[in-house]
Amino acid sequence: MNLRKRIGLEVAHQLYRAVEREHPLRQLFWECTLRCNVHCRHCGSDCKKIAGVGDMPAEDFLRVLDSVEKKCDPHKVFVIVTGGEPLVRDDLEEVCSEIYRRGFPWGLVTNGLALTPERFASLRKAGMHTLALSLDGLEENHNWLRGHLKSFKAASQAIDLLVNSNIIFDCVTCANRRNYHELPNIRDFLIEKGVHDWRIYTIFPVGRAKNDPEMRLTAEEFRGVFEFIKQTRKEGKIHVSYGCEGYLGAYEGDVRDHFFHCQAGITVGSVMADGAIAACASIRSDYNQGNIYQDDFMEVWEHRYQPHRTFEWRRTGECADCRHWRYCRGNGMHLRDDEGHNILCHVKRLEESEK
Amino acid sequence: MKKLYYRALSSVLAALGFGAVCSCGNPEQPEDVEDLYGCPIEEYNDSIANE
Repeated sequence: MNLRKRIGLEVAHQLYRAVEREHPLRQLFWECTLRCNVHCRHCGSDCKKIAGVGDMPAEDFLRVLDSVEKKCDPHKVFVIVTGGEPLVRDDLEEVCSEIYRRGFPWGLVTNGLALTPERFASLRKAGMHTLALSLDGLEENHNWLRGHLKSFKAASQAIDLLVNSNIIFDCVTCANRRNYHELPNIRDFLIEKGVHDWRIYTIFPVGRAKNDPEMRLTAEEFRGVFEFIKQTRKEGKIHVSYGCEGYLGAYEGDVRDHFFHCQAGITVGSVMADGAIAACASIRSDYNQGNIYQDDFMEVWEHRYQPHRTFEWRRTGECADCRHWRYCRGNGMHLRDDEGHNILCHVKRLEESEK
Repeated sequence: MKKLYYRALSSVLAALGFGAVCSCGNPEQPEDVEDLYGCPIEEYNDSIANE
């Protein structure tokens, strides 16, 4: 690792420690439904068309914002509406207009299947500030992963809609064994469409993807994703980044704009569909800190979340004597199982490809 | 004081060519930790009006 990166890592470390001490709430995920209109092979939520848990009533989430407003400047807390597929909710614009009216910027995570021009216009009127759109391959692979024959066409049309507006958006791709060799074609497709921002992540073994051999990249492919991102960033035709998960050793500073820092429970909180107060919506092990039906959200935010804001407890197993500990500190919280074990070490996976 | 400290560290990172804060699933990249989403609502109103 060169000197520039070493200094950068250390400065970022000091910055992140300061942020951890303050733990200002900056992003609040709302898992507004577990219902979904597609059936993705990699779904971390294991969502269904008809969810076992009902949609959270709007007034219940707005009560959370009542709590947040008392302690935070709403302009500094970004609400990210996720699911399931948020667009299956008929009252989405109504709820989000109220979120917006209260001064919270908000954004949407969607597969785009139900994002018609009319729906997009109504969401914009409701104050939608950003959007993240899933695109997991070209037609065949995207439809395979999403379990829906019209999914790619809809995502492609959604991209046209987004490119022709001035909304801030990115496309998000889950790299897997099927689309790995297609990444350059996906890149070219997005550039041709006029997309500026692209986010790639790799599958982690939770939810439906856990036992799916077609989802998990080989060690060589895993490294290949980072080489691809690095190269694409050098070319500069599209701004591509690796997702926020995982400390990447020598690839830190090359495949993202910033250095790794799991902000779950530090700047990121979540309200899950069943009311659970969580950190990051990607965390599927039980690190919930309360429930909005029993607890005040900000009371929980201010006084709990110790597993997310302390690190020494994670220093066990392979992390115990790891030379990357100072900057990794146990990897992302979504990679901890119920017993506290790390289920995926990105650095070790990268090292496997060298053997 | 805290704000100055954040800004100083963010500036060093920027000088080295790195960003300061992860956007955590949100495509808007904040510039630094003290200036995440200042006043987007008002600006947003204007931008929508012009669309």
